[in-house]
Amino acid sequence: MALIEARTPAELSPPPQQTKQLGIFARPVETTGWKSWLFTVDHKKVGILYGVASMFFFVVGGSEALLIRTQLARPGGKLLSAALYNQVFTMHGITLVFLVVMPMMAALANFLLPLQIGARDVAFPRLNAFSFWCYLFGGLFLNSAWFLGGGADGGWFNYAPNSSVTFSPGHGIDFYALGLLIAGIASTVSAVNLIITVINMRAPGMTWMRLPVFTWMTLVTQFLLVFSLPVITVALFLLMFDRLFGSNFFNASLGGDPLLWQHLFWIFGHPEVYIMILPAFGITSELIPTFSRKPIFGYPFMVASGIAIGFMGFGVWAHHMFASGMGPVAVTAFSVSTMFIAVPTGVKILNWLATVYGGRLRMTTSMCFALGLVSMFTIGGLSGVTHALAPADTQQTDTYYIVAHFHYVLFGGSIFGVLGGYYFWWPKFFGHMLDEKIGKWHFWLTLIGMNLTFGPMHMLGLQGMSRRIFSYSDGQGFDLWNLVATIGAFTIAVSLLVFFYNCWVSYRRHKANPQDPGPDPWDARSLEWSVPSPVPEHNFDEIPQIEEFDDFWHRKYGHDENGRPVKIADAADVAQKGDATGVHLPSPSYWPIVLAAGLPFIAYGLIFNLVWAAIGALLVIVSIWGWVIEPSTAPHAEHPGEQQHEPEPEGDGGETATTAGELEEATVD
Amino acid sequence: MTDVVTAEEAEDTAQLGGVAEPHTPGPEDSHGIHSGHHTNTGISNEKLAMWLFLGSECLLFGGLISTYLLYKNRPGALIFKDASEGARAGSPVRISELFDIPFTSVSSFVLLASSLTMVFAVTAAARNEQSRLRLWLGATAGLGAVFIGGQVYEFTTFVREGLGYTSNVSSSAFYTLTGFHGVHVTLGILMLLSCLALTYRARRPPAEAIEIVGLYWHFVDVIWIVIFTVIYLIP
Amino acid sequence: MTSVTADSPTVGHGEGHGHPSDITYWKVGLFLAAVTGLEVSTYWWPESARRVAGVALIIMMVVKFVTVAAYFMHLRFDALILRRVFVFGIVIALAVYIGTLTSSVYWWNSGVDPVVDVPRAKPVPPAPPEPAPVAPASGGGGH
Ligand SMILES: [Cu+2]
Repeated sequence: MALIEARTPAELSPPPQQTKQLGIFARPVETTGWKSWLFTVDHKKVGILYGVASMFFFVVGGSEALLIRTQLARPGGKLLSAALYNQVFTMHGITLVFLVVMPMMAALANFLLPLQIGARDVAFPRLNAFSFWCYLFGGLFLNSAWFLGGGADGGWFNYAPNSSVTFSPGHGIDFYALGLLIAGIASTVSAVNLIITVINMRAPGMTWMRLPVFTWMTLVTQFLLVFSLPVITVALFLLMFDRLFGSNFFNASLGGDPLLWQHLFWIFGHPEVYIMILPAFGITSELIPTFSRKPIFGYPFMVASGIAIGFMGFGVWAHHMFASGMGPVAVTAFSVSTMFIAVPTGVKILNWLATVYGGRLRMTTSMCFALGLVSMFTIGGLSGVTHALAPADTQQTDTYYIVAHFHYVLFGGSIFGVLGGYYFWWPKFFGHMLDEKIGKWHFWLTLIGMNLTFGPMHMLGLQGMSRRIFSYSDGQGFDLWNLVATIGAFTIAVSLLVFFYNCWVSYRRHKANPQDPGPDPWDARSLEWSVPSPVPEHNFDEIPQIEEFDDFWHRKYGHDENGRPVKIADAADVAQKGDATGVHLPSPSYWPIVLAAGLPFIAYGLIFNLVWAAIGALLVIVSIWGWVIEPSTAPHAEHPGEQQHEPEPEGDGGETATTAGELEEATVD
Repeated sequence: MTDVVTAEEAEDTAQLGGVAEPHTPGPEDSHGIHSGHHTNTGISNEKLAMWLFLGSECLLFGGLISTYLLYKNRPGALIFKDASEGARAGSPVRISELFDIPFTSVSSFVLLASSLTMVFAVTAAARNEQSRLRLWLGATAGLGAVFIGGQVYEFTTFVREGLGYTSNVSSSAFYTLTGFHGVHVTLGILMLLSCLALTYRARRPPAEAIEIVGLYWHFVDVIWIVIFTVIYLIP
Repeated sequence: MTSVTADSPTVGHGEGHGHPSDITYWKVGLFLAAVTGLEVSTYWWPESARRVAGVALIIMMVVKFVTVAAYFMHLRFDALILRRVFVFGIVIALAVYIGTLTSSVYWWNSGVDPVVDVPRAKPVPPAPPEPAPVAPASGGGGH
């Protein structure tokens, strides 16, 4: 690895060469203001954009949840009609799964992955920006259905025949198919990008078994995405052809097979649940060691169980179809494989507990959320195992018991993990801490709220209340628990407001009285804490040389004769200063956002009028070409902190090479 | 300049997966195939990305092929020969009976030949032989175009014989699968032509881009190998 | 996943970069053409050899696939990780799709032949004069 290497003489004296700026338009140069965000390719800015956009959709999807709960608060609710209710719960599911939880993970992955492996950016910075815009425009496209005749109404897994034109004559499900295709492009591109980043761009000495657990879990997640998204892509295309071009892939009366949709959907759908939970496991595995002041217990098992979950996640999909009449052999096989997949998950929970055991705990808000995840996810995981038993599952399918289960793992797991991660890494994002006192309020309100909301759903489900039912009548015995769940839902809403209040207050306080949190406010372990907060644009002054797992921690702490950690250096002394100048970074570009903007046009065109599709296709083609002939780094781009202009050696060969590389990037789209 | 900046420079090149190797370019150095020495694996980011993408594409085509296999013998999978000519009572045939195996075989040979020309294009690019490179790139794109032409002819023939996209599930599955493949070939042709254009823009050919486009092209070819056997030849 | 191996990040040059010569490529091309010719010839094999032809075709397909991947796509000469990534995709694809296709046909042992009562709500084009000669091999419409 020739990262730290003296220049060869040839490099030191570049021929004074005039490099022509390729590309039709000038490049964006802004480093502050809204343009710097629109055209950024910086992985940290992209990460923050992901975070903000996912929070926006969280509010949208959360409001839909409140509508649902208000409707169901009392028997015979009148707030929503049956048809509208169908749209609301469907859009709630799609929004939360594809536009909130996945992008929240993408936010953290984008921001942290390069930092944790000691890289300056991701492998393809422009593709990274493209992924974000593609996701955002896909999400807006999906939600624009509300204003163009109503949202999708077939549930998030959208089974045939409910997804057919006969049963859903509006455009909602067309928006579903096309919107998810666009979001799928975003996720695929981002997954490839992050995988290459981890495989190819680790700092010297950062071997596989020294990677932080968050990086590992995110890596497994991206592999799951790469290999499961094409399956749903097939399903969505078939659905789109059914609805728009009159084929009958899922129309049983003309020889189609509704089960094909179910298979394709769940071959993707089950890895998808691990895509949503594994990064949260990774976050927890960062938080718990830090706040227990102990290394993670059983690191190799932690990694191996994550990989095992990834592999096995492809072999259990049909446990979602026990009630579909697959036949007893299939049911048995998938039942058994599902029970097995609980094992690696159990390994993780045991490892976390063993890490906490005997540690010197600091109950920060992050730690609270991490421990909240361990307990809430265990509840959700256990109810999940009850679904593996086909006879029990046949009883529970399509009842509120299922709803309770997956909200415990998704809210109690994924969302808790992300919120804990936000409190933890907030100083890295924005250079100031979140208020801990308000944070505690936030945590307890969230914990109580979620248990009030989803706990009673277990009871409702076992009492026989169907999920997706828009109303129930008085004497069915559902009144009490529905009311409790509604109260819980509003408690969660309040807790979210408390979180926003916390963000605002902490920011104002920081503005009024700036306090540098320092590079390492939590006395943490991984590499991102060895650079200043907020992270400078170039990440690392110097690419670190990694000697062992938890390298940064071991630079701060040695061991005494009893094996207890002894401080040997201050974080401020071993951390980097962040003041390097002249770092050569990828330049901002217009093309990612323009290219992404073309896709919704194509989608609108397919639904309404092909003229729009033509405009979109034109945008796509032009921007791919613009992208291809634009070098990823402008010839004279400098680190913004630097004033003087130094010519960079950029020969003809380099230029073509970049172009060549970019052509490839374009083809990935 | 200090060491710091040097390290950054090196890292930067590594990040972008560039092949910008500033030391004196000799014929050996222009080997795009060997670029990416700065990465952990020694493989350039772009090439690794392409392989990952191809691995992912396996599941896409796998899904489409499975759909066809699932539907090919469905009771609905019949069309009526000469239906378009009003011969309503014509005998029902299965979609597979419409295949013109000799014709499709020629198409298959053409696509296979394009893979061979692609290989020579990649070698020529690595050896920095501009004129041969242009020849082979052009030949590959041309053969690809012939294949697409054959597919268009095949589709129109089928439609004329009464097999439309929505005739039945097996015809939908057939057109969807082969159509997706055709779109992939078409995109490949566009990429090849882009590479061809790029060879006129710079002194050195974009060797790595051509190698990666080559990977994509061969992948499209192996997918056709599977389609040809599984869809066309196996009765 | 596929990249789990502990290859140190300091791997330099990939080894084994022996690039085949043009002659080799011509030979491989001819070999592929010959196999394709053989494949096509099965079309004229007698009806009695259908089973054999099916098996032979699958084998020849795999041979062609592997040859193109190994030589034309350089997998034989390139880094192991590329092979792993690609093979991983193929293996997952085979596993999940074989599972899907067989689960509705072979895994079914409830004693009911699912093909028997195919829904006939809306027959395809105009009704044929005599019942269609349908092979009941696969299918399972009646879920
Ligand atoms: Cu599942």
